[in-house]
Amino acid sequence: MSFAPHPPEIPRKAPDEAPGWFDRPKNVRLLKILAVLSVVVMFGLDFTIHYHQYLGGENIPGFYTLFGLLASVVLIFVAKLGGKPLKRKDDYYDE
Amino acid sequence: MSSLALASLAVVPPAVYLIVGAILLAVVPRTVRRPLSVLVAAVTLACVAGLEKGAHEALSFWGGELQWLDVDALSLVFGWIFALTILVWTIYAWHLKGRLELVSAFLYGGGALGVVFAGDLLTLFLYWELMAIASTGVILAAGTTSARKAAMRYVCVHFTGGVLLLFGIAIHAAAQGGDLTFGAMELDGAGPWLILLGFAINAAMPPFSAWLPDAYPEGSPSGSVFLSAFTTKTSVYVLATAFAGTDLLIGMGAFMSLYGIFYALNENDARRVLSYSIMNQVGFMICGIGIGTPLAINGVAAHAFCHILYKSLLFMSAGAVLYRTGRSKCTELGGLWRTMPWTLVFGLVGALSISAMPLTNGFISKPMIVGAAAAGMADSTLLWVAYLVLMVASAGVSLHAGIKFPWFVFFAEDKGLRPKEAPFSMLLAMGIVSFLCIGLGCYPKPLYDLLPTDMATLGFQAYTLDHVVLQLEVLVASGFAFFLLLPVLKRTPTITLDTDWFYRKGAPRFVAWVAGPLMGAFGWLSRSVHETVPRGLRYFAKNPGGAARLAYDRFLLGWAGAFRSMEAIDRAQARLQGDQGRYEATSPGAAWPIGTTVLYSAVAFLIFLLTYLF
Repeated sequence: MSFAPHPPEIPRKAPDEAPGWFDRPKNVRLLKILAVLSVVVMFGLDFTIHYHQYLGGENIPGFYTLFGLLASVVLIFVAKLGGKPLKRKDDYYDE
Repeated sequence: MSSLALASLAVVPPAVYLIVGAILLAVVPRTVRRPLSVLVAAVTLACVAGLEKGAHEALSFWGGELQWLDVDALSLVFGWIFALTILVWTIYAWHLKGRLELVSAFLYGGGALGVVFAGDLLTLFLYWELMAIASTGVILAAGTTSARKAAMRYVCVHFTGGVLLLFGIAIHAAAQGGDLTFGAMELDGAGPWLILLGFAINAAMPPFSAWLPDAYPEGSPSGSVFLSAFTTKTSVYVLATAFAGTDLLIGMGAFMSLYGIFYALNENDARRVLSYSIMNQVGFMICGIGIGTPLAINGVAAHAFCHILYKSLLFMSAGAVLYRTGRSKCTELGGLWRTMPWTLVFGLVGALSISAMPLTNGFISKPMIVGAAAAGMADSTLLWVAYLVLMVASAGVSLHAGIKFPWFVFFAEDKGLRPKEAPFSMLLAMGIVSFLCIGLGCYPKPLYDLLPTDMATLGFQAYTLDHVVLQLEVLVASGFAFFLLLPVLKRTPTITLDTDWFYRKGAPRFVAWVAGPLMGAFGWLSRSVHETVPRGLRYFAKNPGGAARLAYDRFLLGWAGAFRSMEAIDRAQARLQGDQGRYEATSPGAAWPIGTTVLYSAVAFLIFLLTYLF
């Protein structure tokens, strides 16, 4: 009706396009350093916090950084392996 | 507007403004339609603003009463966010040319507002069905073949849910001596269980959940935004009203939050990712309803409010990309930060909010539910597990919605696409919602004041040092894990099978394998009864000798041939040819014309009547 599923014309990259902020390797490196730094800083901050016990291990220094890392890794691998037998080409239902 | 004017708007339930508005929108010319849609939405919001707790209106109906306005604190929270969403959506959808989506959306929103302000189960049911029908119109308005098919599956699921709910209401009302009041229930009979099932289908609780990621990603760019807000959240409202404190829901909600993450991590289409993400977030709410303490219910209401804001913001961002590029699959997108920076920024606000980043609205609502689990976990293993699952799910939210969505759409591999920035109307709507997300994150008081239980009595503070540090720790850790495992998360052009497989592939296969041979047998039986046997009988009546000879020759050639001489067989074959010709010339029996059939039926009825009467 009012919207076409695939508009024929999407403007494309011009051959002489100037690189943007995220294109510069220097900036990407800066972001990577900031990311690692923020993990380290939060890990360090956890040493100063006293939690009221919930799960049981909270007062192991840096507990929630480790918890977050572990939970994410487990979720990603469970999804990856569990999803394997369920994956189909995205036109599977189209006939 | 003065409070008196607001109160005078509120003599009629807010749903009525939207439904009357929808009828007006269907008939006015196109030039008036868009301003009128904004006006109607604004009046509806003003009407909600004028509602007072405890207000009550009933409508006479067939000798009974429909409690069509029954305002309590919980319904007011949902009323506010629904009316607000509709208003912002009318701005976002300013580009719409057709009337189907706009009219359907207003009816759908009217249904949702009707449900949250309904005081009895019959009113609730009527609005419930209005939502089912009108939301199907919103999906259909996308105008694609796949949307039409998805809409048909969607409406089948919701009508099934509606029928279960109606049965439940009837049984429950009979058990209560005809009392239809909608309030807290115990799961003590078939009625409440069926009602729960009807609610669960709309809440997208697994395994009744596949309709959501099947249908929502098929909507138009603006249609999906609207769809994401209402059906599951009205369900959260009715579950919180009827089944707060039901232990079953703690487990269901926790499971649901993980189920959503599992699929969201696997999916490729950005709008499918966001649809599964709805299930994940509603899982938190269902879990909170199961916990059922005042803090948990406050958390559920606040989280539903905040969730609608940031989830519609995420869908708006994905919708703007779809509107400009016609694409929503991660494998076909990437690198859009160059030309759609504002869409990126607003999408990021939504992504950070859903991840419950401090200073966004997710941070002031989700920890209430998690905190309610923590408060009771010392003496309940169930709550201990719930707390653990909700914490794991919190990390998972930032993975799939917080990082995956913006990363693959706006960054990742540059596909060379340079679409225009989203139209101003879309940016304006996204800007308003972003403002609300951050505004409530920094200053939650207006929302907290709306909640059912006075926050001062609950002893909950969102911004304490340990909350902030804990949340930031988990967020940066999960972000770090995402980029560490990026190769594992590489997108493929696939979908991941969900329970809709059973009705999309399983059922047709079942028909082919099991019912196929059965149909063949019935076909043979039908041909025998209607054709072979009557024709044989007619031929026999005309020519008994010929019929007997035909049967004998057929038997001879078919079965007993091996025992006869060649000459006998030749003779039989020659005879058969002649007989076969005469047999074929016989009609299979005259069909009775309709008139005769009706006459015979009338006579049969007359005989029946006479025997019945005397």
